[in-house]
Amino acid sequence: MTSVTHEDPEVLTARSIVKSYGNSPALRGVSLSAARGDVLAITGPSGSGKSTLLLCLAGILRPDAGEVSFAGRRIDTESESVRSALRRREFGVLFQFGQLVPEMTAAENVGLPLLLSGVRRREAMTAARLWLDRFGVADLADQRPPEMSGGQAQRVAVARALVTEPEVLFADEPTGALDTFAGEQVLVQLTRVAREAGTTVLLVTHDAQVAAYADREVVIRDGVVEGDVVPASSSAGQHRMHT
Amino acid sequence: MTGRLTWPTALWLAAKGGRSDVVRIALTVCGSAIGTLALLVAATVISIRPDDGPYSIQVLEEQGLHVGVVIALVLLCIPVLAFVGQCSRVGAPARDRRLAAIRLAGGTPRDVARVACGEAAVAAGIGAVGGLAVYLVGRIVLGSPVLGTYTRITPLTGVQPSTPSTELPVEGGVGISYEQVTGPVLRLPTDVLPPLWVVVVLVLLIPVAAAAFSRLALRGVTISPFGVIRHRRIRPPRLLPAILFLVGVVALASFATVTKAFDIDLSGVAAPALAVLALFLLTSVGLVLGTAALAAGIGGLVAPRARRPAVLIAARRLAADPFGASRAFGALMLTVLIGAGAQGVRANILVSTDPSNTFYRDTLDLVNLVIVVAVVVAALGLLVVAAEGIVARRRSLAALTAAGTPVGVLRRAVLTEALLPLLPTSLLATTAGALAARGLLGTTFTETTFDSAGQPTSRILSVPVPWAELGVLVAGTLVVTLLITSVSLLFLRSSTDPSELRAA
Repeated sequence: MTSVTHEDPEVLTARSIVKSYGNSPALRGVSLSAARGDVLAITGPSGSGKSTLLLCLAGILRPDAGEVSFAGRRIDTESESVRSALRRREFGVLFQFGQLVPEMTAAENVGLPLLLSGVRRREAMTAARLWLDRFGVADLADQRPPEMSGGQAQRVAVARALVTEPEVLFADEPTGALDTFAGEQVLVQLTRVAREAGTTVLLVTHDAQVAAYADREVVIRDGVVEGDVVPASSSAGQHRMHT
Repeated sequence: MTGRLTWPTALWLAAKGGRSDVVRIALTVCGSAIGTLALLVAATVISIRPDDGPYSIQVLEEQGLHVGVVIALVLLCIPVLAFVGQCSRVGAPARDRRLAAIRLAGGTPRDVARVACGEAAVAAGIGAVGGLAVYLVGRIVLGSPVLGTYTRITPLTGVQPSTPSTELPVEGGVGISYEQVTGPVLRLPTDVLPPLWVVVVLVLLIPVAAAAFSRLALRGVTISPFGVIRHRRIRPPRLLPAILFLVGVVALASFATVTKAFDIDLSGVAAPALAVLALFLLTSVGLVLGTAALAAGIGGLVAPRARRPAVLIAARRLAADPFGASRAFGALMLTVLIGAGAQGVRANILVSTDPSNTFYRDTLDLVNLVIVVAVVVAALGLLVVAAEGIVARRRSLAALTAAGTPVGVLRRAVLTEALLPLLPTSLLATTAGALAARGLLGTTFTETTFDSAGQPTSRILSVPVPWAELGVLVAGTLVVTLLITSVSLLFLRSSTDPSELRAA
C-alpha cells in the first residue's frame, strides 16, 4: 500500500498526457497536479477530453504517452492488477449513475470495497452503515438501488467511494443525473466529508455551479488545458460554510 | 394509407438492429432448424412400416422400439425449443430501446408487437425451411444402400432360421429371433417419407410457436416511448411447485405398487400411459417452477451470510431474479430428469435381458448419446442466458472494475451464480427420475428359464440402483455447465472495458 505523507504535497501528478480513441485525439499533452486535500474541478465542454483525463488519472485508462504519478510513484506503467488494487485501496471512483450493483442492498454495496480488501463481513457491514449514516441515508441500508431515488442512490454511491477512506476521489459528473436540489445535497456532503478526511477530490463537470464547490478549476478544451483558476462564481470557503 | 404498420415494414424494422440482434436471429434460425430436423426425423421413424428398410441401425429394425426413438427425438426437441426461447433474450436491452424508439416515432403497442413477433416468426421460419432442406438433401445424399450387416428381427413361428441366431423365450412360449444378415442396407430411413400434411405441420410448428412465445413474452412488458418496463414477479411460488413435484414423484414412484395392489391390468390400456404422462408433466412443472423458488431461497439464505464478494454478488443476483435461474436451468433440469429416468429404465432392461445379446445395450447406449446431446444443447441455452446477463449489466460491471473490483471476483460471481442452484436442483431431478423409473418398472424382475425337459424355473432378480450412471449424469451436467458457463466469461472482459463507462 502506498502511504501519502505531508512531505508529499502533490499527491497526484500528470505530465504531458496524450490519449486517442482510434484517430480521434482526446488528450493532447495535458499536465496537472493535485495536492493533498485539494478539491479540484476539471471542466470543459462535451468532448473536450475531461472524462478521459479523469480515467487516465485514476488508472482506468492507460495514456498513449505521458506519465501519471500517485504519491511520487508512476502508475501508468503498472499492470492492470496493480492499478486495480490501487483503485480499490487508495482511490474512490464515482460516476454519474449505474455504479451500484442493483441486486445488492445499500449496505452491501457500500461494504463491497471492504469485503474485496479482505475485511470480515460483520465489520464491513458495520462500517457501511456508519458511512450511510454520514450521508443521511442510514434508513436505506437494507434497500436496493432500484428502490431508491436518483439522489439517494448517488449518496449511497458516494458512501461506497469513500468507505475505504481513499487518498483521492475521482468523480465523473457525479450530479449529472440529478435535479438541482439533490445534486447540491450530494456535493455538499461529498466535499464536507472529503475535506474532513483530507481526501483529494477530482471532480469532472461541465456545470459551473458544480465547479464552484472546488478550490481550483482546471479548464480543458480540445484536449489541452486552457486554464487553471479559482472558480469564479462562488468560493470554496462559502460552500464549506454549508456544513 | 391503411393507418397500420404493414408486415413488410415491420420486418424491415425488425432487421434494423445491431450486432446482438443479428446474433439473436442467427441463433433462432439455427435452433429452429435443429428442432424442425429432429421433428421430421421423428415423424419419419414413426412412419416406418415392417416392410421398409432394412437399416444398419438396429433400433430402426424393431417396430416396437420406434416409439422409444420418437420419444427420444421429441425429448431432444425440449432443450432445442428452450434454446430458441432463450435466444429471444439475446440483445434484449438494445431491442427494447429500439422498440421504445418506434413507439416514440408514433408506433402503437400493436405495431411493436408486430415487429417483435414478425422477427421471431421469420427467423424461426427460415430455420424451419433450412431444417427441411437439410432433411430433404440428407435423404438424397444418404439414400443409396450400402453393403452391411443388419439384424433381422422376426417373431418365432416354429421354423428355425438357417443362420445362427439368438432366441429370447418369453412368457407364453412365443419368442423373437435375432438373425445377423449381410446384404444391402440403408443407413437411415431415407426410403420413408411422412405424409405431406405432417411435413407441412412440422415445418410450421416452430415458427408459429416462436411467434406465440414472442407475443406472450410481451404480455409482461410495457413499451412506452420513454423505455421498457418489465413487470417481473420477484417472489416465485414456493408451495405450489413443492406440491406438484412431490405429488408427481410419489405417484410415479408408487405406480407399479399401486396398480399391483389394486390388480389393474396395464396391458393395452391407454389410461395408465396417459396417467404416467400427466404425472411426469406434474413433476416437470414442479421442478421448473421449483428451480425459481430454490434459487430465491438459496440466494436469500446465502447472501446475508456471504463473506466473499463473489458469493455475495451471485447470491444477491439469484435472490433478485429467481425466474432467471428457472429460465436458464428449466430445460437442463428436464433433461436431467429424463436422463435419470432413462438410467433407471436401462438398469431394468439390462437385468431382464440376455447379457450376451448386445442389441438392447447398443440401443440403450444410443439413448444415452441422445441424453448427452440434450444436456449439451440445454447447457448451450445456459450460455446464452449467462452471456446475455453479462452484456446487459456491462455498465455496472465496468463501474465495479473501474472501482477496483478484480475481474476474477466477477468471474467467480458468474460461475457461483450458475452453480448455487444447479447442484441441489440436479440432485432433485436425478432422484425424481430414478424413483420414477423404479416405481414404474419395479425393483425386481422374475427370470424364467427352461431346462432340457422344458420345465420352467423362476428366480427373482433385484434391479440395481444405477448409482454410477446417475453419478456420471449429475457430475457430467455440472462439468458441462461449468465449461459452457466459462465460455460466457469471454464476454466479461469486453463488458468490463472502461469504454463502457463512456456510453451514458
